[in-house]
Amino acid sequence: MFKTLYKKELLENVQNYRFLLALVICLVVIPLGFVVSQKDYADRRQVYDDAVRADAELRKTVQDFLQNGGLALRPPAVLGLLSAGVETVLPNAVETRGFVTQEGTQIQFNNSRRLDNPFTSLFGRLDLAFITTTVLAVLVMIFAFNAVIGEKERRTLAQVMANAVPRPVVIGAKMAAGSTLLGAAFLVGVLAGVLLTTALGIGPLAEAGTWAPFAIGIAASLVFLMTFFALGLFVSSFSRSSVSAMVALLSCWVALAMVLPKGSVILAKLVRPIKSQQVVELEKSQVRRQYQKDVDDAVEKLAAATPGVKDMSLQDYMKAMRAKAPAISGYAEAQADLRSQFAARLNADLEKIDAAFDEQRAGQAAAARSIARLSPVSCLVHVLTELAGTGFAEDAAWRETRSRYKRIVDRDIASKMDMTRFKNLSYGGAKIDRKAPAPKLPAGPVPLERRLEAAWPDLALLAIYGLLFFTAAYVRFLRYDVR
Amino acid sequence: MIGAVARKEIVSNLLSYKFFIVLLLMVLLVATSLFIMHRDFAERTADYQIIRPEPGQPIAVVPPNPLSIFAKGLENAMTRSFEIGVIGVDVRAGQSSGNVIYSFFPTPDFLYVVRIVLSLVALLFGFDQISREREQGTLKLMLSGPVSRAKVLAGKWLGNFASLAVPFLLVTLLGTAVLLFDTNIRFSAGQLGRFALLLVLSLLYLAFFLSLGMLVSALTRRSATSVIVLLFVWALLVFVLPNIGTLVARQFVAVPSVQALNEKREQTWTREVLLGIAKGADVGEHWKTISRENDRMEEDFRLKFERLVRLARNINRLSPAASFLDAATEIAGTGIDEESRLKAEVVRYKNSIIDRLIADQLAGKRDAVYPSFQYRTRPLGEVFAAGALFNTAWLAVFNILAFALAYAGFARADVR
Repeated sequence: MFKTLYKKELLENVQNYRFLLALVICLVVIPLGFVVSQKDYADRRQVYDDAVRADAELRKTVQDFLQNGGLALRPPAVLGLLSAGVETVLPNAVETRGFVTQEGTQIQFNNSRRLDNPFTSLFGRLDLAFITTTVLAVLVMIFAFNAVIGEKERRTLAQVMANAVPRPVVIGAKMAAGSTLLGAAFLVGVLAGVLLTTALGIGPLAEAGTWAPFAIGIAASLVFLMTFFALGLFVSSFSRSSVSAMVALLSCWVALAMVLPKGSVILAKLVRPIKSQQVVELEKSQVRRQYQKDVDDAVEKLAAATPGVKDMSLQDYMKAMRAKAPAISGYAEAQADLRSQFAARLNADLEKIDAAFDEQRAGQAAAARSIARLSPVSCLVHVLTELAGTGFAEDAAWRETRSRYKRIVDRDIASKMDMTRFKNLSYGGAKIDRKAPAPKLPAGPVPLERRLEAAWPDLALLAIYGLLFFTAAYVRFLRYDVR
Repeated sequence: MIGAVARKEIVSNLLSYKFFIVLLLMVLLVATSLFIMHRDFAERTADYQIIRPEPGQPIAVVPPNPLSIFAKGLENAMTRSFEIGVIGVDVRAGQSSGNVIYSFFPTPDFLYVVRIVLSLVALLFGFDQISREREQGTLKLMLSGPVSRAKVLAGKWLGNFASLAVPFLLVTLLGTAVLLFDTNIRFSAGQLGRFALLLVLSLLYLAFFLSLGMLVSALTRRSATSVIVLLFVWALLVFVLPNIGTLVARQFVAVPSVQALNEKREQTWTREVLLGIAKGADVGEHWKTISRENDRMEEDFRLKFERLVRLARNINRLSPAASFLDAATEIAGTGIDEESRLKAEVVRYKNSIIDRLIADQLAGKRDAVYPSFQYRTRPLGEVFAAGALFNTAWLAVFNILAFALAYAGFARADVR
């Protein structure tokens, strides 16, 4: 009986052009989204490769590093076609700011982001997350809105039930058939997209390690479509007319796709407010200024306590240094120790400020994420962003990269800087081997295990939502008046 | 007779379950959008107070535009700080301090709500106007009276448009009025006028989708078929065509990416300053050379970029959604042309102070005072002349076309 009803549902959807139109939409929108995303990725990858080459030429040695500043580049996300996520928000590089000094290096994200493509900013990115949660979600609504109420209006439901068919079989067959057709159309679209991008030489699976996250992302999207179909069945079995069902489903989609995800951020900001980045940067500038003042005062006191140093000119000071005059060498060492202590304290305080801010941001983001999980749309977007390497894990990793780069540069260069009493950097750095290779940052994408770890709760929730909606539709249909 | 049919449509909508769900949906959407965008604006304003330059500093920053609450457009790009240095303009962080989770979902500004969701709602108002009445048998009853098909269609259109437009306007105006209670949001008379134009444009856009719904309804026999066809057309017009425009345009116009441009600047700096200094040359002259070369690269980039934008825009005009978005963002002052104009003004500002800046830098002068950067959005006349009027007229053409086709379809439809 199940097979018969399943075939009947399949034929009905195929014969009333629904499946055909679903197929056409998937064959147009999904490959288009893939091509647009991959072309964008290819352009960004080219620029990244060129920048890495240029950087390697420009910063071969410590001397080059001191002259040109340091730069660590972030590669574009290979699977950005799944979800753009934070790809356009994260900076392209971390770089040194100003001179490398004994007080340590100032490392910052390059926040200069001009518009590459204004149309993307205006129209939004056509990634799989957007296509699935907007275009395909509406397509699912079309499949599901009159699955139950439509049959009732056509009077065929009563006829089916008159044949002593168990109600669970009826609703099960509808769910299975709808899922099969939607899944088939979606997979055909994805396959077309992969083939088209591969033929154009910009295939998303050409690089190593992309198959698994891509496949999981597609599977998650399928689960989402089935979840939404189950929701459609539930709403259809509650409504009095097809039109009301359509409108009610649309309202659900608006609430789940727009209100909850964005509203969750607002709620999180109310529940866990944090300072803005600009305020934190201001605080750090104030701390640096204070430390600079304290260092200068301490060095002045030391100079005053060392006979002859205070009134020495720079040239005389350097002559005495080269001649290794004991008093001056002793003063230089004491000054270096003083500066190291202050540098260590400054770095510790700045790291504390950064760590506190990062913790607050993470807390706020976690709160927003938890509230957003009330919506299956948010769950899918979270899964796809993590798998694509454009989610929270990537953001956290990049922040950690900034700290790691600073530690490396401070260890390899800043800690070896000598600064004269006159803070003249041209004469400083006596202990540095300027011909040594410039420090490099061993950076790479977030490992798949970490991405999966970040994604699995949302994946599980998505499946639970699917089961929940189907159970609700099932229970509702058991008591449904089919007349 | 048109009035009678329109009144009948309005009453039938008011008595329907669908209308109240749509009304609730509009309230929910517009309220959510305005609330979220209002908070976003408040945060950006707070950040602006932090990054705004002291008087005399050579930094160009524009304050957040209150109309960006309705049309975010390219506001994020426009509200960065542009620091003028001896070798050019350094684009720094902007007034966006939101958490990264904000970037996961599209900005739900008023334009997004109208362009994506309310267009779907307008389709739902129109998709069953003819086919449902045909299924119920009331259409042939109506036409058996002394009423022409044109009048029936016009009456239906007017009635449904009124049922859509009146709640939309009420909800939007109410939401905006609540916004005005915030003393940090001040709309000038000009901005209120622009807001009114945004509303008119939105109504024009929704009217098109209503006409489109009625067109398909007239051509199909069943409501279920209408809704499927309309969804396909909606996806095509709102998502596919705007993206195709940009994709096709990029095949014909090659524009270097911003990162590539930055790399070229780095190379120029290295060549001029590092190698020049090594040879003992005049630093000031090298800075001027860098500034000139940067300007040349910028100009070259700008010309190519404008060609790309022009071509993409023309292709995108196949989609009423793209025309609507383009016109609305330009009217709000957050569009592509406004952003380009701002960048041009920043370059002009830089050129007006660069010689003094270089001279002061060489002299080691730390407390020099420079004129402040002033920027005013383009007057509305200029906005219309640059393309907003054309886009508005184009939307009107879409409307007339859709209605004319709907009439042609209905005039030949079998109402039995």
